[in-house]
Amino acid sequence: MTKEEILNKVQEIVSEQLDIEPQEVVLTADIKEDLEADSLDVFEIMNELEDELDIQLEADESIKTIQDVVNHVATQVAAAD
Amino acid sequence: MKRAVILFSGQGSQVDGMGIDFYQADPRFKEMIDQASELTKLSLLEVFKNCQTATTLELQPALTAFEVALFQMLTQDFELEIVGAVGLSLGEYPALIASGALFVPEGLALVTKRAKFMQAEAKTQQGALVAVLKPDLTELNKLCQQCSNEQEIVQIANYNSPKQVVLGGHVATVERLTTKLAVQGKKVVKLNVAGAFHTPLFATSKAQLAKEVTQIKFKDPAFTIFSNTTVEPFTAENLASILPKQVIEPTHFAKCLTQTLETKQPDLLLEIGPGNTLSKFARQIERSIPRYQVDTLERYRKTLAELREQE
Repeated sequence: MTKEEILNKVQEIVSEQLDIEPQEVVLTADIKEDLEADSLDVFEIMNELEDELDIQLEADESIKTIQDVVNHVATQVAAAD
Repeated sequence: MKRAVILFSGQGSQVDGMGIDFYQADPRFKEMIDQASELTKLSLLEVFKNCQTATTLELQPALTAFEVALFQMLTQDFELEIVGAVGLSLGEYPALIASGALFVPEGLALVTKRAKFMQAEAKTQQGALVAVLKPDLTELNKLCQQCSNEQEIVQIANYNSPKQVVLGGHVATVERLTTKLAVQGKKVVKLNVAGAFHTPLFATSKAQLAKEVTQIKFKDPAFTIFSNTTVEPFTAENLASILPKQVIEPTHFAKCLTQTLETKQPDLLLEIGPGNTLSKFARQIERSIPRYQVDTLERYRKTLAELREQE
């Protein structure tokens, strides 16, 4: 899975969860500050990514931006291969 | 005229600084909040500024006043045909006040009493709430029963959407259940709340509220509000029996919204209160209906502009 494919998936799931346009889900966006997600939203997003990509994501406080999510997912996808 | 259903958000939706923008920009909002502060003997502006550290006692009246004030401004600024409303938990109070079922002063007084009872009772016990994603309800109810005993219980407290429910009960029981769910690979997240709202842990509050409501002469709501507790429309007759029960019984937001959409066929949903949690639940229930929010001044103006554009 390429980073671009991961980003597309993240955009789809984040926009669905937060009820916003996929175009708003840019790499630099801070999930809580810019996209106004609460901690339960973040939890639901991570859970959805786990289910859809069949990976395990640990709760990680350092994840703040969409770029962080993509990187984190990419690492786990690589580890699962 | 657009047919609208209003969603009133509950406790937990509060954010630091909510309402400050309206307070500074709109004299109507300021007047309503100042009056509500006098009625509740709370400095609501201070509560708005420091929501994260505020107590249940302060938050329930603050959210109610905030949402009622926004409702009144909105109905002055834009002509909507309001065909229904759904509040979540505490949000049923601003919904009832907005509908005329309760006058503003008596509604604020009642919600302040409710907040006082609940805060006092929360302090006497160790309660917890956790959210469970993609639940199998039959299985979950069975597990709740298995983990509960005569002294300590856990049960479903909020049926929020098809994708999310909240469990509440005594801390030890909730933890037992959380462990079982984790073994099954279910995701559980602890909510940051003062107590296990909507469970029998609030039985004393229920009894206290039951005494309070006998003093009140409820009116029929001007628009349909399905009760979180019974999923029946509130009436002047049933309010006094349902409102006390509401604090110990699960909320059925998803069913209330489904019933409202089916019976009222609105053109849009408009969420009043901080954030857009209820709009997100609504989307998980019926994704085709347009959703608007009016939580900040910026979004209030944007929503009004969008609604006017469609006329």
